[in-house]
Amino acid sequence: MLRAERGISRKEPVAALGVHYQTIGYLERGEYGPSLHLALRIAEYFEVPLEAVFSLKPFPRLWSETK
Amino acid sequence: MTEAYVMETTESERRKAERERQRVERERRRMEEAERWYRSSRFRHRRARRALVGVGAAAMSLFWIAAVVCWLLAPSDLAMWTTFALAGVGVAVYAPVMFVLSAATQGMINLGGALLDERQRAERDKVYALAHRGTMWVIIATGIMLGIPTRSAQVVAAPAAALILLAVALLLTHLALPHLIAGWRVPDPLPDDED
Repeated sequence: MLRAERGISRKEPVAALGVHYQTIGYLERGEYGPSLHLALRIAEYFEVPLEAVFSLKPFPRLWSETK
Repeated sequence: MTEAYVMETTESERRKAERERQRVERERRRMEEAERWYRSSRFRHRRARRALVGVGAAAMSLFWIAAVVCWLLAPSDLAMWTTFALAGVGVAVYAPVMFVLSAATQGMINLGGALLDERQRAERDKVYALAHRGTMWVIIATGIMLGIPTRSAQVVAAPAAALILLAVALLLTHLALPHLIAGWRVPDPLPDDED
C-alpha cells in the first residue's frame, strides 16, 4: 500500500486531494471507486502512474509476492 | 459613475464571498469538533448507532400518534395537552439524536455540497433516493388511511388540528428520514490512524 509504504498518515493527503480522511480509508479498502478526476489526483499526489494505484484486476496480496 | 458602480459591486461581491468563506470555515470547524466527540462516544459502534436511529424513528412517530389522538379526541383539552406533550417529547428526544447522527455521517445531510467530498455526495444521493422512496410510501399509506373513513360517506368531518398535525408529521418525516437512513447505513468510523 502506497501510503503505508511512504509512512504517510491518512490525514496528510486530505488537504491535497480535497477529500474527507475517512474517504481515504474507503479507497484503501476498495469500498469506494473514485471518479477519474480523483483517481488522477491521487496518482499525481503519490507521483506514480495511475495503473500503480488503480487497476481493474485486484492487486496481488503482499504475502503472495513474498512467496 | 459607471466605474464607481462597478467598483462598488465588486467590493460587495468580495465581502459576500468573504462572508461565505467564513461561514463555510465555521461549519467545517463545528463538524470537526462533532466528529471528534463522536469518535470517542459509544455511538461509534453500529449497534448503538442503529439503536439511536430506532429512538429517532420512535420520536418521529410521536407526531403521528399526536395526529391520531387529535383526530379521535379533538376538540378537547385532553387532545390539546396530549398533542403538546407528545410533540414536546418528540422534539426533545429527536434533537440530540439528530446531533449524533449528523456527527456520525460527517454532516452528510445537513452540510452544503461544497463541504462534502465526492464519496459523501454520492452517498448522500443514495440516502436521498431511499428517503424519497420511504416518504412516498408514507404518503401512500396516509392517503389510504384517510380514504378508509371516506369510503362510506360523502363528507367526513375531521378536526382541523388533526389535519394540520398530519401535515406536520408528514413534513417532519420527510425531513428526518434522510438523517435516519444515513445513520443506519454509515459504517463504523475508522480509528484515527491505522498506521
